[in-house]
Amino acid sequence: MSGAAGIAALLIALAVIGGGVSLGMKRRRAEAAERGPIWRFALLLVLQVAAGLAVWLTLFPPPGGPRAGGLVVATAGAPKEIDVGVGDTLIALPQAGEVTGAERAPDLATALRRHPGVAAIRVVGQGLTARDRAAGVDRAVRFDPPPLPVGVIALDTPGPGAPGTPFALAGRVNGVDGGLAELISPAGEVLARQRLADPGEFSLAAARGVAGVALYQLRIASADERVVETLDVGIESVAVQPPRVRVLAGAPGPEPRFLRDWAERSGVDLEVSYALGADAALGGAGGRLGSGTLGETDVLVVDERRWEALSEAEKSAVRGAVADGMGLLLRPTGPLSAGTRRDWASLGFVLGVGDGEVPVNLTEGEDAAIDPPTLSRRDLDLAASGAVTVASDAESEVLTAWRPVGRGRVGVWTLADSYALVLTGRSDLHARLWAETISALARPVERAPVRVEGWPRQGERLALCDLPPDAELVGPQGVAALIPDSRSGGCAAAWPSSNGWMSVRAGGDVIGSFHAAPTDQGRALTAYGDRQATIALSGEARREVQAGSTTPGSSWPWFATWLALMTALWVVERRRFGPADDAAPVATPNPEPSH
Amino acid sequence: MSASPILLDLQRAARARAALNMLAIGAPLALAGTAVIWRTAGWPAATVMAAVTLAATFGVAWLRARRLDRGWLIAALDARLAAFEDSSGLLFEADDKPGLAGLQRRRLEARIAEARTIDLRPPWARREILAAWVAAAMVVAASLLWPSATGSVASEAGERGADSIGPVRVVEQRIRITPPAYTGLPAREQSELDIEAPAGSRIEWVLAFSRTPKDARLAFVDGGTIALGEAGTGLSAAYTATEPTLYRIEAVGLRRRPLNRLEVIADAPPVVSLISPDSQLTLATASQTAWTPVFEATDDYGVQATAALRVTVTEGEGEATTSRTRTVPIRGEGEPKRRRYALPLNLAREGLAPGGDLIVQLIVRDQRAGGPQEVEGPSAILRWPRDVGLAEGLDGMAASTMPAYFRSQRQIIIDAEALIAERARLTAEDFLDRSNGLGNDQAQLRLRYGQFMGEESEGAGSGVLALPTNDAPAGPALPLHDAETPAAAPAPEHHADDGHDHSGHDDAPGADTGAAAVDGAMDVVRQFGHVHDDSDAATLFDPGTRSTLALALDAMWASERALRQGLPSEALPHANRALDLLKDAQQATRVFLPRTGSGPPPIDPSRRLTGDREDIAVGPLPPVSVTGLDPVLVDAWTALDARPGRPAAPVPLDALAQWARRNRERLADPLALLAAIDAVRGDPDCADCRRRLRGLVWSAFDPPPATATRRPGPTVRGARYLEALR
Repeated sequence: MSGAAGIAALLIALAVIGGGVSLGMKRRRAEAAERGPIWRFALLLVLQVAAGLAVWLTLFPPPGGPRAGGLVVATAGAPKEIDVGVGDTLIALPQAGEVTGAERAPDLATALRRHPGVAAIRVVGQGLTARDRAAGVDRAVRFDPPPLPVGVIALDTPGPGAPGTPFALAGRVNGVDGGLAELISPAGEVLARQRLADPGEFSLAAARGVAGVALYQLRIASADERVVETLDVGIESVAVQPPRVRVLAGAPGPEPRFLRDWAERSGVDLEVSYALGADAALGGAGGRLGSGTLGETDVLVVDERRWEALSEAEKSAVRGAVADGMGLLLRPTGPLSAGTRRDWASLGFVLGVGDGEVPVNLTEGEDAAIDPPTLSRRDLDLAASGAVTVASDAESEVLTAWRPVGRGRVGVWTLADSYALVLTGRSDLHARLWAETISALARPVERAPVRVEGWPRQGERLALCDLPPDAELVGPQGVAALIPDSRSGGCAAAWPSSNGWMSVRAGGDVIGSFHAAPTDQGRALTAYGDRQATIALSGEARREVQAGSTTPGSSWPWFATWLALMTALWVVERRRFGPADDAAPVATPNPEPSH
Repeated sequence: MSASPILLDLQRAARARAALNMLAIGAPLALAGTAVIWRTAGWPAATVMAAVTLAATFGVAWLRARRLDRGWLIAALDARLAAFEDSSGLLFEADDKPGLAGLQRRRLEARIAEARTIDLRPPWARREILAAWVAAAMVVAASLLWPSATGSVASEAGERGADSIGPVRVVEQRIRITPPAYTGLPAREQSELDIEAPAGSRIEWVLAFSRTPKDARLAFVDGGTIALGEAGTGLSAAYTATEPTLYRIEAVGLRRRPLNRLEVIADAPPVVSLISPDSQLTLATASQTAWTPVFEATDDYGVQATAALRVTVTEGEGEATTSRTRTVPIRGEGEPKRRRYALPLNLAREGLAPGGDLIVQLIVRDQRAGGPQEVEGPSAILRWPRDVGLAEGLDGMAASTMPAYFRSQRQIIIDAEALIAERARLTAEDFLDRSNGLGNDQAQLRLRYGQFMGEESEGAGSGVLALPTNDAPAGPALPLHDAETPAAAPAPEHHADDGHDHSGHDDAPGADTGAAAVDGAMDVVRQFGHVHDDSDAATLFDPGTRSTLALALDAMWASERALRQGLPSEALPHANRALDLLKDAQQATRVFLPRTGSGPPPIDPSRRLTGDREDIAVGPLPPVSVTGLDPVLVDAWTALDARPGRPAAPVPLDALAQWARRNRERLADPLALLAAIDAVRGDPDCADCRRRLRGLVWSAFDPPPATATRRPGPTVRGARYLEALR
């Protein structure tokens, strides 16, 4: 019994006992003729006790029967009429719209506070949002998922990259069979399109533009050319610190020359040295390779003729630099000698002699304006070496691959005449192949760009990862500090309160940007996310119900009983037996507890 | 009636007052209702409402006045005048009433003057009148001053005519497009402001405004303006469209309108195609004397009737060609949009020689007004191959490539010289055999060359002398893959004898013309005379009539003859001459020029081949030319960056517009860029306009080549894990 109940019980008991005692004393003091019959005295005592009991029950009514019903929560997309079982309470959350007979609650936690002791929650509609899922974690949730929403239900946005690099926007669309997914450039032109088949997955590729942020659009159209959905996707092009590349070529040739052209145009810091025989070299990158010079190189490109000309000290310096983080690209241009094969095997690539050339088909579909010519590659099997493929041709033959060695990477480039791509007008393909290879091999940098998880939208939770401790979010309405959680890998959550471009700033420099789409976009995406998360929540084991499973009883019946008893007491006390004496009615003090 | 006029006056006054009361109450109400109706529904309904309410008011007033009738008068008189003793009714009855009624009446008539003192008029209903007027005033004020939600006040002002308040609107627009006369298109009218017209069209705008504005003009996006002048019902302007552009209508008081497009369809140049022959290069057949190439010219609006045909005839071969050109006017037939031109050419009259080309090219002009566009069509070439004329009687071509058999001829010379050097060591038979063998080689070489001259066998065709045998060749000669004929053997004796018995010299089958005729002459000479010279010494004959190759063949025959006789020393000069002639024939069509600019430094013979690598200075690699990003575009791009936290820079719109005009050809849609610049200039706060301009600036950049990205390194924990693994 709690404190209040104990004090109440004490007071009531005192009052009852006091009343009974005073009744008894009055009876004793009164003369025999004035005493009423003994049954009246007994009745009075019984009524007193009963009245005291009634007061106690009024204040602390016994609990009613076990609760029969649960909570039916209507969320977004719930129908107007919902059947509820007997004893169930219907709650409508703010996103639910008009639901007849529902009690409106601002969120699930409030509804649960208003109705403590619900055993089960049944969710009707698309599912609970993130804040409601947190509130319903310790209840048993039942959810009958509606059909999948129509529109984009999954979207994977690419992060920032260097200008000119390709990016892919992938995702899944539901319910638009035979439709079209298009990637629209910032100027409104269609860059890539894909017809949607049954699972509705799409992947649209394009190349980033000039350095800066650009707003692309994903447009989903149905089979009869009606626009179903449009999503804004922000892509960032960041000019990066260029890698320092050193090319050692065994002879002058077109391949290093066009590699140098590409490097100049794309801003890569490249030095090339052509061996002219007998220690003469053209270009500025000659000289002995030592750990000092290699420590300042991010990628070293060597062909097998130059490799054979390196001394043992230089070769061991190269191996040490690779173990220290440098990238090494081996470029066989002819049959490999046994010594070279041994050396390269020690770097992880067991290659054959490779004395033939195999044609390479690089056509990538009917969209290209100019078809790339058929190139040729050295007859080396890279797939068997277990390396990571960087580039492969249309028949999935591996052109370039790399393996990790120590902290650095070693790669092999087998294309013999990639310069032919430049000469036939496909310099974009040439640039892409070399850029991907150099990017894969270059020495890593410490500062990684900010990673944005999910597709940012106004009013939805967004996670920003790889943040430094002093990061802040700059939006159109002001600056907000971000609180990275070190346990989750430096991730912080943000809720953009408006739509538009926002930047993440640390130490005064902008380290990343993203675009938050307006609220009317991406409804299907949110609906799908809520749906899947609510299904996951409902799949967890039923939890023990913590709070009372019975309804608290009502105290009104007991109050009515007490009132009746007091009336009876009063009636009985007023009636007297014996000679009437109207002036002073004998009334026992009413044992009313002083609450 | 005998009622006194005084009493009737009283009644009339009372009625008047009652009516005025009602009017005073009803009139403001009517006014208020009229004002409300005017405000909501305009004048006509207001007048109707006024009439109705005033009629209603008058009606109610009249009814109220009627209520003050005779009965009321009597009651009022009785109530007000004690002197009438409640019997005022008697005054209105008949005059001669008997008895008491009459008496009373007479008495009352005497007191009638007292009636003047009373006033029966009902009091003014002051409160009601005041309330009605105040309420009406409020309602009228409200209806006048209520702010108009839909501009009904404005329409009211517009209907009132020339007022100085209210914005201007374009009410009606008509555009008349008159294409230039040469196109043959009719003039047309349209009412949309977006115009598409052929280049050079005259475009007239006729615009009607809601009220005549000041300073109305058409402003073009690149800065030009045309003022709109008065013309009939509206304002008009005229313009000749030459380039696609954007324009808008501007006037003082006119709200900023969107830009309209003026697309110009340029006149396309005519297209000339070759109809006959099928391919551009045709080879003349042997018997061809005339040639008629047919061209066809098509144009979108028509070509001129007269075109020019350029006829070029070339002579000579290779680098030594000369040509003559003349231009012939030619009329075409057919409709102007598709005309055919054909000119028959006579090869002999044009002067086409063997080995020459006849090139015909058509030059047409179209009928564009500002200067016709001239197009030179494809050329049709008729080539007379060189060897067709020499191979008389042969159809088909002789291949004109010469094999490089110099080595064979040179080898024969070398072998002959070697044989001469070994003469001392060899027996006479061996010597003769070897010499004969060399003669055989020379014969094969000669016959191989001879095939290009149309000879099939020895002893036929031109350029070959008759065999020095006594016998005439019996029938068609045999092909010479067999071994040498033994007929060659007696020839040396014959010659060595020199028995002046040349009767055995045959007549050459003199069926040839040209060179064969010379042979024929020689044979006659040989027949009737004695020629010690070899025919190819040719001092007697004109060498110009023999081709170089024929002379070479003669020399080869002479050397062969000498070799077969075992006289290699005699054969040598002939063989050398054959070699020279062959070289001449091969190189006659080449002109050698020294290559300019390729002057390597002179070789230092003392250093050459010593392996000395000092002072080999390898220069730097040539620089790669890189065009950077356009600075105007970079400035605009940076200024339009919509990210917060960036310093707000003004967008350089003027520089960007100039850049756009200068680089029209590079952009896919320069007009869209100009329109976007104009939209941002007109509304600097419009975020959508800035976003659109930023997108167009993005697409104006050249797509950058793919750059290398830097990969992020492992985190601290990851790096430690990696170290531990290694």
